[in-house]
Amino acid sequence: MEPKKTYTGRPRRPRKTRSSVWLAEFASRRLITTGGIGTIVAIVTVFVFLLYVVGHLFLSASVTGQAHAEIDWAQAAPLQMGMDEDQLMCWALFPDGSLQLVRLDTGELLEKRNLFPDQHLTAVSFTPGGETTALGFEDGSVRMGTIRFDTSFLDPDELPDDVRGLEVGQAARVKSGMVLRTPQGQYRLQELAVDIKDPAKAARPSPVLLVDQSKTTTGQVVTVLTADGKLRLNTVLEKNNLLTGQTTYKLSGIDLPYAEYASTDPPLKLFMSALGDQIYLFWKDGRLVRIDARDKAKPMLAEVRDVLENGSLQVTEVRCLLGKGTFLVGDSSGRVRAWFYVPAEEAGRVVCAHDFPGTGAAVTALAVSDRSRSAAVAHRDGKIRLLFVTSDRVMAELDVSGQIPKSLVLAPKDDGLAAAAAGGIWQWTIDPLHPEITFKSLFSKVWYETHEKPEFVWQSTGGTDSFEPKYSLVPLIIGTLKASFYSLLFGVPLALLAAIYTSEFMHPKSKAVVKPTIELMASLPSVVLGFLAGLVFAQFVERIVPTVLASLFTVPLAFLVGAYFWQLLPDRLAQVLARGRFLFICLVMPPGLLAAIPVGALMEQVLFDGDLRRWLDGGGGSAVGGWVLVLLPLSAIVSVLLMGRYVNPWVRRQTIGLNRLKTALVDFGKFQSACAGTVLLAWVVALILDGFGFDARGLFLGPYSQRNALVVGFIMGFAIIPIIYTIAEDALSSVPEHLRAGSLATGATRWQTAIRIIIPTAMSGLFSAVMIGLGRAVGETMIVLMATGNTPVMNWSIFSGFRTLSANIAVELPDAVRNSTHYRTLFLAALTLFAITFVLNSLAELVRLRFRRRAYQL
Amino acid sequence: MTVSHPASAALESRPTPLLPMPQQPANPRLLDHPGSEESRLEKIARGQSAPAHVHAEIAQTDPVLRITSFSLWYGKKQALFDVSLCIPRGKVTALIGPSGCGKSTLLRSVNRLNDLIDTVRVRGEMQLNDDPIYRPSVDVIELRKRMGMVFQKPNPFPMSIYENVVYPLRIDGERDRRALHEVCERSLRGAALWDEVKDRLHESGLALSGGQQQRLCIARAIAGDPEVLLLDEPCSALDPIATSKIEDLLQELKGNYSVLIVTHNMQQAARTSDFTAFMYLGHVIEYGPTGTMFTNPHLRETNDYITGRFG
Ligand SMILES: Nc1ncnc2c1ncn2[C@@H]1O[C@H](COP(=O)(O)OP(=O)(O)OP(=O)(O)O)[C@@H](O)[C@H]1O
Ligand SMILES: [Mg+2]
Repeated sequence: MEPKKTYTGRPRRPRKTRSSVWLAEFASRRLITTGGIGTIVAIVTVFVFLLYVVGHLFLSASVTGQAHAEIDWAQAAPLQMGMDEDQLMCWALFPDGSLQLVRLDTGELLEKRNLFPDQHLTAVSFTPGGETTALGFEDGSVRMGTIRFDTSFLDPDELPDDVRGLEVGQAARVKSGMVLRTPQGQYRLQELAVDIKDPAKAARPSPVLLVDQSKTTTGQVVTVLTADGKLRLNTVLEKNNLLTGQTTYKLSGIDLPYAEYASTDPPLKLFMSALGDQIYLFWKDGRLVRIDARDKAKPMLAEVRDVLENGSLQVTEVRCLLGKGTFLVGDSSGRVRAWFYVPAEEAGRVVCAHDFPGTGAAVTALAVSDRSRSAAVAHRDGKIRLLFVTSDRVMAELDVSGQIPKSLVLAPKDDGLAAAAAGGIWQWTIDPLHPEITFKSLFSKVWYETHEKPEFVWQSTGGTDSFEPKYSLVPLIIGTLKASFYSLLFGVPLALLAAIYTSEFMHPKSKAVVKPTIELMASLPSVVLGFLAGLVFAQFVERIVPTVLASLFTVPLAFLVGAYFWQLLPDRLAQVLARGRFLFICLVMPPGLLAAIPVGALMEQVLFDGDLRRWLDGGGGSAVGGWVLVLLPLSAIVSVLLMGRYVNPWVRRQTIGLNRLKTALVDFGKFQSACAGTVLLAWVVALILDGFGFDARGLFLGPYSQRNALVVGFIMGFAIIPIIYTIAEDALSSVPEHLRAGSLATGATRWQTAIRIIIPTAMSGLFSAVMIGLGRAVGETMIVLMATGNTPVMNWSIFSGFRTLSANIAVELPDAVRNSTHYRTLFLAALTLFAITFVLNSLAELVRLRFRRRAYQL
Repeated sequence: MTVSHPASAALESRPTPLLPMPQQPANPRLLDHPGSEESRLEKIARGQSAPAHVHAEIAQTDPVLRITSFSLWYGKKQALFDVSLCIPRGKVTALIGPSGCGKSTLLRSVNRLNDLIDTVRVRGEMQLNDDPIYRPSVDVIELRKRMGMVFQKPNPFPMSIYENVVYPLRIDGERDRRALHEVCERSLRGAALWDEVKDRLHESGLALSGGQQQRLCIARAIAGDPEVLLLDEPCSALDPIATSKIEDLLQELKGNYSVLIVTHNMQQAARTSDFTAFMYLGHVIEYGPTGTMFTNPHLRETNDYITGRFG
């Protein structure tokens, strides 16, 4: 049979799809699905991992173990207790001067000694975190010393067999201390080490009532209140006798103004600040007296106040927190409040910054941590609360079953607590986790020690052990937003206008050069940009701030003036030159930049009283200048709108029938009056704002720092321009040509076409472009890292630096101890960044879809 | 002999003419090349030039648009060859010719839309009411405002029906809502679209059907009150009822406006136009009053084309 002939002459086209095609179809579908799901899984994994690391921050402390041992301490409550690192033993100093060392798990008395057989102990002071102790005696002398545990590792070969056979985690008594088999298999010995120096004799032998000491840079200072009503601030003089090798101590000091209180009841507690310049006295009735001894020649009674504000209550216990800045005051209602001194130029004051409401049962004992701002408070009803002062957090609540806890001690690593009561000693092991962090401490104002008021502060590390970490993410979030804001402020208009210009106005030949050039800018590594910004550009800008500011106005103005001049060109010439229009635009730029020099100088003279930097620092000149500067762009927009709405139609009616040159002249005149109007409007509004007492300094302007938001805005703007430009240009170019033709055919100008047809149609693309730019700006690290001072200050001033979330992570993560609060908080910063970009992108997508729906079916 | 055409398929769907068509070149006035069997079309196809045959009646009309030896190149490819046409004022002039012969190109040249294509070069001159079109000093914007154009493919803007129609007024800065609404209604009625869209003027113009979109574009073109209306196959996507309404519109516009219409529909050309120009491969072959062109064309090539045969 003759094969059927087809039209093309080829054999009949097979109707069946080939298996290879099916295979490709199947494979690609699977591949794409896998890829898509893989991406989602990867993102979710990152998210889950971040959540996992961060989640610990918000868990409450947990009590992991509890022990009770009967000890007969009925005779008196310990003045102070101390625990060793391994929470095996505890020493207790009693009012009679005896020191006991007991095993916590069994209550076995390991050692008992009388420290001062021939002296009568009358006052003690223990400093949290510091090891030095001051002890006051009836004979008026004061002794310094240390009571602590010494840690050493023992050689297994020298150990008795029963100790060598210890299982990991088990402990045994060895000599005067205890040995613990550590998880590493070592034998760690904890021993009590007591070192009390010889007495420092005071001038008058009056019994010491209260004593406190501080180790300052100039030596040890001791404040002593004696029974004869004298309060003295002493320095401890140390004298080495070269012959006998003996060291003798002497107190020499000044009298503090105390006469007023000499005849009343003695105070409950005496403290001095870490620097030894403030002395605080707490009375039972709630009185607090602060003596300012900054001027040693003239110490003065600085402040008297009531820390209870309730006459029916009594202060039952006061302790100072690590750093000796904050005082915890416990009262008979069980309320615990934290007070600290806020220094100020003239009159500093003591403020109550944290408040733990009472339970009704009086505070019987307080113990403070040696390493953090946590404290334990015991109540008369047997309840014990573990507090974290900075974050106002109650970490745990414990109970000694109805007994009255008389003394408390926190383990050196904050991971344990012991309480002594008549029935013996109770011990808890605790996992404190991260009490510094609460939602409040992260995202709202916290009143930190010595700060004047509650504030948002990020300061994760400090110079001293007693440093109070401040983990507020708000300054970092603000920094991130500020960096993005200023870089978008600079980058977005430039990139979008450039995109509109290239896609709608530029000759294709120029476009073929310009577009790849701008896209090439994207390949500049941001570290190079950051380097340029921080080391070159910042210094350059610093030298010519007024010129830079002026150029923000003169350059766009130069372009506008150039455009009007172009209109003034004779028709023929304009037509001939049309192809070189881009060149002409380039030519306009240098005069614009040059004009910035005199304009900048003039601006500085007129607006800023001749010195911009001084004006920014708050000196000289009214606020008007700054407002004019800030308001100029806004008033330009307003005047453009007003022009378009009211002036233009009128001008158009007047100029009907005029020739091209005359119309252009009228246009130019209109432009000039618009400029004048803009300046006038800005000036008037500035005057009004100034009249109402508003000042842009502190809002958008502020003291100049070399690496600031202006520099970052410029450089990061530069970094995001290529990406915004590329996407925006593509979006604009992909608007179908027939729309462009349709609009032009109705007689619309290119600009009208762009504004009314092209931009609305490409809106979703333009929006994506800006959003991707924003995403880049939010996450950008290197530039902000290098071009800002990375100071986490919180303001919107264009002249100050900031620290962004990403830069913060980059700066601090290498130094953060794994799984520490700091480490996890940095992860939280990462999560926050993630959330910000996620929210921004989702919002952007929603908006984009809206635009998209509007321009569908193209 | 058959000359191959780029898109001879367009001829196949040609409807039978309404007017009696001469089956034979019986007209004694029918011009042939003296002493030659070779047709003009063959010569043109070979790249030679052939002068256009313009009827004498054209010379007596008052031209609104005068095209003088206009040539156009897309890069190296020449699309129009020495086209000379006078479009009479207040009349409808039809451009017919096989697909790809340069009708759209000619139309786009009239309002200088070809400026958008940067490979285009032109030679020759056009004048609108004695104002030059192709002079460097011409204000193209003003020029385009004097003409309205409907494209071969409907191109409504991505905005509401209402805004689409009043677009020409919007760009002139017209803000008077009553005036805008009046223009909108008149134009939509003229374009036979009013009844269909009057309840949804503020919905997207893109949500209309293809034929409705084309009528929307026609409404937009007439909303600008142009002196000359350039219509590029305005009815190719329309059903017979809408088509006849558009044709009615043309009759209504005639007098005040001059219309230049491209069409592949011979009946339409015969029904609506006063003058007809027949183009072939970028050349004008014959140009004369429609009546003569369809009943008594001077050239055999024209006759062949309108009767559906070449050569
Ligand atoms: N933008 C362009 N670039 C290059 N050549 C073009 C371009 N537009 C049209 N042409 C060519 O010019 C010639 C004339 O095209 P034109 O669109 O004017 O034809 P037409 O007569 O309108 O055809 P139709 O009846 O199919 O619409 C065609 O050969 C076409 O290939
Ligand atoms: Mg066409």
